[in-house]
Amino acid sequence: MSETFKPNFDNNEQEPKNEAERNVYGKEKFSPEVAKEHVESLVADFKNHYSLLGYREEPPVQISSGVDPTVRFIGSHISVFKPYLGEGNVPTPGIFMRQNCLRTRNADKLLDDDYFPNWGSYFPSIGAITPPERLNEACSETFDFFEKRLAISPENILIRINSADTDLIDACKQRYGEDNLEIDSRKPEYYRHNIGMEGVRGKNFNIALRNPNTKGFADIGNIILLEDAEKQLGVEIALGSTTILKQLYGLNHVQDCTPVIGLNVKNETIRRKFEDAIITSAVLYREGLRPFGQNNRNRILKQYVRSLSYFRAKSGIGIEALSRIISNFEKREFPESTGQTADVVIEFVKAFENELLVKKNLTDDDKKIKESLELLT
Amino acid sequence: MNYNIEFKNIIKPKRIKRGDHIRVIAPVKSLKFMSDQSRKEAIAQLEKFGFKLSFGKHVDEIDEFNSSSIESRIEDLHDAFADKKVDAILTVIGGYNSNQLLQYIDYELIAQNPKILCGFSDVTALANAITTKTGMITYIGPHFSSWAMKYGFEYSLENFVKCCMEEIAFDLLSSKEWSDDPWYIDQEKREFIPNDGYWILNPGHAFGRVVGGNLCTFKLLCGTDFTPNMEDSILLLEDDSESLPHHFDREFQSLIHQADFSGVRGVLIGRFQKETKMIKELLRKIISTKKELQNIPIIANVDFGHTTPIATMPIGGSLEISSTIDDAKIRIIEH
Repeated sequence: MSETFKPNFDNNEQEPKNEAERNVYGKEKFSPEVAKEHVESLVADFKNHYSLLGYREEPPVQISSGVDPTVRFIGSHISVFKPYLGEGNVPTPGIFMRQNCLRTRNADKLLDDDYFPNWGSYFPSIGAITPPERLNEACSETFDFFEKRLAISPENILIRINSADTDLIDACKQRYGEDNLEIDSRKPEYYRHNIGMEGVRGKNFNIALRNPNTKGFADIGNIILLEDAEKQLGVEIALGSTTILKQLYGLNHVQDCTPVIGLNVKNETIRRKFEDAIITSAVLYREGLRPFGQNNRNRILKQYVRSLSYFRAKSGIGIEALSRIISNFEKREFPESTGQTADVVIEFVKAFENELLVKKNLTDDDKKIKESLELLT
Repeated sequence: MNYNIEFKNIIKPKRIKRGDHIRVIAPVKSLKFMSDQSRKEAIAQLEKFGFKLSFGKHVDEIDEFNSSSIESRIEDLHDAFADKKVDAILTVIGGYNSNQLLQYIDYELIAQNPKILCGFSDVTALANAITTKTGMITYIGPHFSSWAMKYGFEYSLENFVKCCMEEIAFDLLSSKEWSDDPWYIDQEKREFIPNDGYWILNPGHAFGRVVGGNLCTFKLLCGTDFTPNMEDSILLLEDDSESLPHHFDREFQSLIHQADFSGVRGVLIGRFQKETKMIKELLRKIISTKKELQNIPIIANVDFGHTTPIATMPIGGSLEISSTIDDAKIRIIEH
C-alpha cells in the first residue's frame, strides 16, 4: 500500500481562494452539488483500504429489512455482522461493509420547535469486524486508514479511552503516545456497548478528530472489543462517513453530506428537521415502506411524512415546490432510482392533509399541523 | 394471529408497455372452459393492443371440475414468474379453487421476480395471498377472457392502462354505462344501462392500503396465513349473482368480526349483478345495521365485480376516498 497521500477529492473540489480559507486539514467546505461525490469517495477509500488488507466485503441490507429483530431499522452494520458473532466465526482477516443506516431519535421531536437535531436520521455507515486475536492489527489498520488514506496527521487524532481497558490501551499505545490518549474523560457508560445480543457486551474506545475551525475534538467512530462471559467474540470497527467528512471539511452539520438542495428556509431548526424528514421519507419509501399500520416501522415513517406538512407550512413552501425538492433530492442521492418516490410521497402528504380537514378527533400533533397549514393558506 | 404481522414492504411490479410479453395461465378454471371463438377474440384484442402472448404449459388441461391439477397450476404460475422473458401475467377466468394453491406457492420466487398479475373473482384469493406474503402489488382486473369482449370494453381497457401501464396517481371515475348480460354467449346482443354513478352510503375521508375483492373468496382467507392485514386498509368488496342481499349481509358481517376489521378505514363495494336484486336502499339498510361501519366512508356501485366494464384495482396499493353526501372521489395513488 502506498504511504503517500493521494488527495481523494481533487476531481470534485474547487481550489481554495487562498490558504486562509483552508482548515487544519487543508480543506474547505464543499458545495451541496458535490456532497454525494465526497461521501462516495470516502466510502470507496474505506473499501479499498480494507479490501487491500484482505478483508471480504459483505453486501448491505435494506434499512427496513428487519434482518435484526432487536432494532426497528438498521442503525449500524453490526446488525449485519451479528450472525458471525453468534457463530463465533468471524473470518480472518475480517469483513467490511458500507451500510446505509437510520437512527430515528429525532422522530418524536420533529414537531417540537425548540428541539434542534444535532444528527440526521439517515447516514451511510462504514465498518468492519475482525477476530478478537487481531485487536492490535485492527487498531493499526484503522489508524492507517486515517493517517495514510485520509492524510490526517496524528496530532489531529484523539483516542478517548477507559483506563480499565488495558488491552485496548495497549493496542493504541503501539501507535500513539500519551498526547493522543484522553483517558477517563467521560462517564463509564461511554466506553461500553450493548449490541442487542443476549450476554454480549462491548468495551470500546472512541476515535475523535480535531475540530477544523474551533478548539476540541469530535467523535467520528470507535473500535469495540465484543465479548461474552466466556470469550472474546470479535473486534468491530465502526466509522461514521458523514461525521468524518463534517470534521475534515468543517461542515456545519452532518446533513450537509446528504443535502436537500432548494430548501431555502431561514430558520435553521426548521430547516434541519425538514431536511431530515425529506431524507428519511425518501429513503424509506424507496425501500417500499409505507406509513400504514400501527407497527413500529410504519408508525415511525408516518411521523416523518406527517411532519412534512408541518415544515412546509412553517416554511411557506407549496406542495408542488416540495414535490420538486424531493424529486431533485432523489435524483441526486439515488441516481439509480426510477424517480417515482417523490410523486408517491407527495400523494401521501396530500392525502394526510385532506384527512386533517375532515378528521374529528385530532391529536395534539394533528392540531398543530392543521393550524400551521391554515396559516399557510 | 395475522393481524399482528407487520406489512411487508411494497414491491411494485414494473409497468407493462405495448410490445411486452404476457403469459396467460389458468390457476382456476381451464382455458378449455372458454369457447374457441372467445379465445381467438381475446388473443386478437391483446395482440392488436400490442402485447405478445404465450400460454402456460397446462392451460388446456381440464378435469371434472373444469380446472386442472394443483401441480399443473402451480407449475404454470411458477414458470410465469420465473421466466425472465415474461413481463406480466393474466389469468384465464375465475372459478372456485385458486385457494387450493396457496400453500404450494413459492412466494420467494415471486418476490424475486415481481410482475403484474391480473384477474378477478376467484383470483381474489391468489392476489391477496401473494400480496400478503410478498408485499407485491397484485391486480383485481380483467382476466384474459375479459379481453374477448367486443363492445363495452373501453372503460376496462382505459383503467387497465392507467393502473398497469402508467405510473401516476389517478382518479377512478364512474363508467358511463354498464352491462350485465352474458356477452360471451352473444356478443351482438348487448344491453347497456346508464350508470347512476357512485352510491354514497357513508361520506367521509379515508386513505389506506387496498385489500379484498370478491367477498366470498376473500373470506376464505380469514384465519389463515394468507389473509392481509386490514390495519389502515381500504376494503374492496363485490360478489356475483349468487350472492343475494342476505348472503352479502351475513358474509360482510363475518368479515366485520375479524379481529383487525377495526383497522379498515373505508369500503368500496363493486356493482351488484341484476340477479341479486340488490338496490341502493337495501344496501344502505344493511350497512346501517352495522355500527362498525358508521364512521367510515362507504361507496358502492363502483365499477368492479361481475358486471362490466371493470376497473383494475391494485391489491396492496394505496387509495384515497374523499366523499361528501353528494360527491365522491376515489383516487388510486399507488398501483
